[in-house]
Amino acid sequence: MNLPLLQRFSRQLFERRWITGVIALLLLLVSLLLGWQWEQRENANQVRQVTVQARILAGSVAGALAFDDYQTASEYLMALRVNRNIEAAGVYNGNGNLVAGFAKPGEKVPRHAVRTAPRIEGADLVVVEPVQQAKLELGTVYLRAIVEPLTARLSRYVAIGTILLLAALLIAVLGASNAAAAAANRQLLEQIAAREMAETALRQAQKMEALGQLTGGVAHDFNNLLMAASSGLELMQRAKEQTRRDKLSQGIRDALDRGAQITQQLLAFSRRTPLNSEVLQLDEHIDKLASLLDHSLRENVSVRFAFPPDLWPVEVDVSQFDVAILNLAVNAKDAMPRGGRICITAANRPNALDGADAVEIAVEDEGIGMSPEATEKAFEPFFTTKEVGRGTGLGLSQVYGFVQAAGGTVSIASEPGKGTTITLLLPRSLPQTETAAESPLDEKPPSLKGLSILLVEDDPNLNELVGQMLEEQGTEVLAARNAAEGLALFESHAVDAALSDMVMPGEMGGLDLARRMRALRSDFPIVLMTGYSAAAGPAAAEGFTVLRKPFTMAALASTLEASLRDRAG
Amino acid sequence: MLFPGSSGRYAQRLALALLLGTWSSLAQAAATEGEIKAAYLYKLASFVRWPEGVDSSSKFTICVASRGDVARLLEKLADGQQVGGRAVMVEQLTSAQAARVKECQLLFVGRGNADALFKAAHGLPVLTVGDRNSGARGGVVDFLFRDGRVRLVIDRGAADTQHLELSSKLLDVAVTVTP
Repeated sequence: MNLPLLQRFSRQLFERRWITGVIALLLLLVSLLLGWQWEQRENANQVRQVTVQARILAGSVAGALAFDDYQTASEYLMALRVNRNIEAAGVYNGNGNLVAGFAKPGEKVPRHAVRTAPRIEGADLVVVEPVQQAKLELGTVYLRAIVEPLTARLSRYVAIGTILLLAALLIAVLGASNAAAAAANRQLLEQIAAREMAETALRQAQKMEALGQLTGGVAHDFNNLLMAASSGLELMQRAKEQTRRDKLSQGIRDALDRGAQITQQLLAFSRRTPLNSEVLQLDEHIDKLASLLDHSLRENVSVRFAFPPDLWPVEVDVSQFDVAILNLAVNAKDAMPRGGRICITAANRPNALDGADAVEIAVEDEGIGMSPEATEKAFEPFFTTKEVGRGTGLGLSQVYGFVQAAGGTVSIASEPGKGTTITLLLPRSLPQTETAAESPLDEKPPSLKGLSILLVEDDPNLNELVGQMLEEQGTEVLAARNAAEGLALFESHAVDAALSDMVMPGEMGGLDLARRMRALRSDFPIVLMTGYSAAAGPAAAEGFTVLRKPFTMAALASTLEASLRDRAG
Repeated sequence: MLFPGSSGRYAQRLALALLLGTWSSLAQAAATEGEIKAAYLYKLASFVRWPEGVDSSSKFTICVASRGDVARLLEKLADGQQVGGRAVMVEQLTSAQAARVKECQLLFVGRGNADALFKAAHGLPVLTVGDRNSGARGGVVDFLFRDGRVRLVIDRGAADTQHLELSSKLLDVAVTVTP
């Protein structure tokens, strides 16, 4: 419990300069006090010693004093001369007269007895003791002894005092330097924090810039599409000839398709699109890729594939993969205005993705290359090196989104004038889902005609439109505006299948509704519609069929048919 | 040891004494022989221990024979004084009053033959004091006049006979100590 307190104390100790100064001062004070106390004790000790000597002398000379044998008294007194500390000594008879005494040169013995308590006279200690024999007062003795002079004692303390002073100084210096270091450390930490904040702000600004570019680009593209669609629609209303109307209708259709494509790419970039993953054997896919690229590239650009036959399979959304390769090839072509060769190579890379096996696909060109700055921004949406009107800036973003969704990585290596290599690493698919490819394609799909379909969609327009699409297929439609209503209809009517939106207002969403219905009828065919939903992944994972918006009537029909067939089978 | 019992060892050092002798002879010269003896008799009591519980007398009696002057001086000295918690009394004796010896704690025979009185005190706890220069030789303590000073001769055998214990300080200052 005391440890944090102690730590805090020691931290404060080293961070505040004055504390160490105070400690050093205290140390000095305490040692001075101890020294003074020692001196006092030493003095008392000396007084005691001299008093004892005086008493011994007094006892010894009692007989001599009593019977005036001053020679004997003198003999006893002379014995004291052995003690160098004794400066002067005297024996006095009952009348107070000096009867025997001695003094060192320069010292004097009082002629007459004095009565005093032990006292210091200059550098000497004076002790007077009475001479008694059985209560009979016979005289006094006088002793004067050297007390060690102050200077001598001080010089004795000089050595230890110097050490002490140095220790105190050391503490003060250490404390000061420690405080300085602590202050510097604190300053450094503050600077780091400030820099981190600045970096966060910068990242946020970059994100906002990217977002601005993205929304701007999307708005621009969509404006064009909407312009095409609305003008086409207007012209179509005025057109009288059927052929012209058909042509305009096709133009509108194309514009809408492009719009759908752009949103698909955006979703891929934002990694929120439900993936139609399948296991792909790349070497078996070369032919399809080659024909795709043939249509998209110029004649002066050749493509060389180098896929070894023993490549590991990968699990990807094949159409996204095709688009990604196409985007890379188109970029490579654009980087080689005078033509050249694009190399698309693949290789197995064991333990390349965080220790997991991966397949590497590299697209290499001999083009103009990119500056480091451009390389850094290459994957941002709507960033483009091409002139206005040649690219949307979504190509590499799509590649990035695709690779992220597939659980892989993408890197770029480029130098101006030396070409560019984009390298994708896709995780190896472990051979467990091979049966997925085996679907009884030759089986004739069951007709939807006469079936009762439950449609749950909160958007009134879409509800109406999708309802009409279903009725076009010859089905009977039970329309609901929310999940609760849908569940009520499901329980009260005998429906054959359900088509539900995923994101709807109310407590229950599309996925919840699907779960409830499946809980009631485990083999009930359910198709969930979504354009943009984070729940699409979990829904697919739980085994529900997911139909992506926007969809065509044919896609709707085939998805519903497939779902009915799966449940029937 | 600073104060060994033997004094002779320090004889050489006597020469070193700066202030010695002159005052001591002066001090004694100022007093008469009788005064000195009276003072010594009084002081002697402090250096002697009497056996306990032998006599129950509440007085400490100093008996003086043949020296009336000393007896009177003693009376003056000992007036109101005590020895061992007992009031000091001074009595005068004649040689014929040997029977009174047993009342004395200290017996001084100042002149003439002391044998009769000392014999009477034999074996009793009485400190016998003689004065050999005046013919009264004998006793535990015997005054001796030498080098112009009154000195003490101590007879330790006699002290034993009288059941007395003498202080070593007394033996220190004795001129001759008879075992």
